[in-house]
Amino acid sequence: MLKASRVVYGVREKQILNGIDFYVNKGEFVGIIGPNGSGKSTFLKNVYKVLKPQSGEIALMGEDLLEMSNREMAQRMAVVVQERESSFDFTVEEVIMMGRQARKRLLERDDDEDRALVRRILEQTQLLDLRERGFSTLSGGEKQRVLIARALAQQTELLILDEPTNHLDIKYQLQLMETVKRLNATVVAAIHDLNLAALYCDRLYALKDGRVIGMGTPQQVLTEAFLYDTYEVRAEVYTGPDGCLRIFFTRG
Amino acid sequence: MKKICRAVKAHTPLTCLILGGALLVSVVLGIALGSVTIPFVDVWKIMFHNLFGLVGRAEMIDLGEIRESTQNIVWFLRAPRVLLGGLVGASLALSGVGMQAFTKNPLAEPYVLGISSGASLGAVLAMLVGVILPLGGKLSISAGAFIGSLLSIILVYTLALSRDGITPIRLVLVGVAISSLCSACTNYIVYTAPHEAAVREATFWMLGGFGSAKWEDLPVLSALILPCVIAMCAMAKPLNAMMMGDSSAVTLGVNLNLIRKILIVITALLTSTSVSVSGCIGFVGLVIPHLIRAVVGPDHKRLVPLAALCGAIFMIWVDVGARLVHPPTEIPVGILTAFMGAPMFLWMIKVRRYEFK
Repeated sequence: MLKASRVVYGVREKQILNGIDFYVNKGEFVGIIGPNGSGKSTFLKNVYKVLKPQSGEIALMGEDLLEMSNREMAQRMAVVVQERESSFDFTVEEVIMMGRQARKRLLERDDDEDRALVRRILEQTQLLDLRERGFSTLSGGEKQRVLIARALAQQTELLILDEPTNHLDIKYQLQLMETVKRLNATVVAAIHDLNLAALYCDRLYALKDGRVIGMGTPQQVLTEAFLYDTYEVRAEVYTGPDGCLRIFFTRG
Repeated sequence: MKKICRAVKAHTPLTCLILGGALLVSVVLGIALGSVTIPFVDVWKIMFHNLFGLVGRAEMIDLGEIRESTQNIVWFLRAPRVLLGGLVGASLALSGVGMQAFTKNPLAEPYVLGISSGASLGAVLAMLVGVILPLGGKLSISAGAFIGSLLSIILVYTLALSRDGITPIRLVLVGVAISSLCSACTNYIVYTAPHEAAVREATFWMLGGFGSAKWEDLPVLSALILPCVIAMCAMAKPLNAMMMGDSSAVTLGVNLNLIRKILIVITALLTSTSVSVSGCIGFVGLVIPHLIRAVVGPDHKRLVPLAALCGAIFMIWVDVGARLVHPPTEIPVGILTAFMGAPMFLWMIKVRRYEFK
């Protein structure tokens, strides 16, 4: 689905990504974890073409992403970005409709099919009651749901989430991850919270100082030794009754 | 009020049609009103007489008892003046929309960002060179204004560019600096100008107005306005996406660099041609788009045509005000728009809490 090799990115003399190798298979939910400044978001920004890698290759569905136009990319991959502020107050419905524009030609208008799709997505994401509200009047959790709905409107197989649960309280974090999990899409998400990552991801990439320092299932990656080496914290890791890991942090 | 907003939003084409009618009425009233008020019937007669005259059929409308001085006022003074006012209003409102889309900030506007001052410096320089070397004429002044505004747009945008892209706060601060610098240059030229007429003309550029409008001022702007409206309507969806942020726009499939280049060209063309025929008229690009967004929301599909029409109507009436408020003296239009626009700018910052983040 998506494959990156030896991706290098830096700003002036500071190297942020030191050759990242990465892949996602169809249907996988892959999490990217790592401490602050490890390069999670920077790597994803290289993947969704907001930043341009200095070297390396990224292939999206077998095609060279770096040669692709933004429009072609948007037809194959939807992104929930971190931007949630705007001085311009589009309604929820208008924001979601923006997801359709990569499939429109110049001057082509939204048709009944688009409106029906947006309506279905509004129902699916429980936003129907909010559809005429201004985006900037929404709470953080609601905004994030709208941006996910916008990504859904792009109708792509691959979904990228750039730190989707930042600034959300725990209820919305779980709600959001649940919504995404139920889509059965291929998902790549940068996730800060390790328990959340362990609950929902099939496979994890751990980044530190712009390098991949671990890759595998949550059980393989999230060991007590790994947590100490990477985050410099002591933790106890258990397996819950549902088979998912539980991480508890301890003092000193 | 909410009902009206909803109706306008749902029936934008119809609203445009109604505003088109209002524009026509404004043109006629604008021609009729002034230090000498002329009956509407006479305005219609004179206008159609002369318009038919262009195709050699002037005799179709009988002017009867209308005095020749009245005819001259209507056809040579008021008509080009009102039409130019409409064109400049529309293009300033549009360039406001364009700059706000470029900067993602509803406070951006040609005057605030110093583009207008750049254009008037260019115009005054071109005029000065024209005075010293008697060549060029009107065209070279327009060209000077165009180059001046293009340079100041590029200068403002590049100086405001930092590692995080163009941040609005830097943009406005750079705009203030460039604006002061250009005004200082213009003032210097005016004070040391070897030619009396140059001084008078330079003052006109800095205050702005339509008092000296002639038919020759109209063609460039009227040829420009429709293609710009169409281009901006065609870009409505990408522009909307850009308002949500750069990353949003890119991931929704917008070719950000291309759209930005087109926006720079469009705003530079509209601002510079407007300034080259009317001088610095501020805040139109701020007031009009803001009011329209309050009614129909920020969707450019509606905003662009409505801004053009309302900008035109607004400017015609401000110009009427400029003629009537303090007779027989005419107030420069730029003073009146600043009286209205600057408080609105403050209101937007204070009450609507728009910030330069």
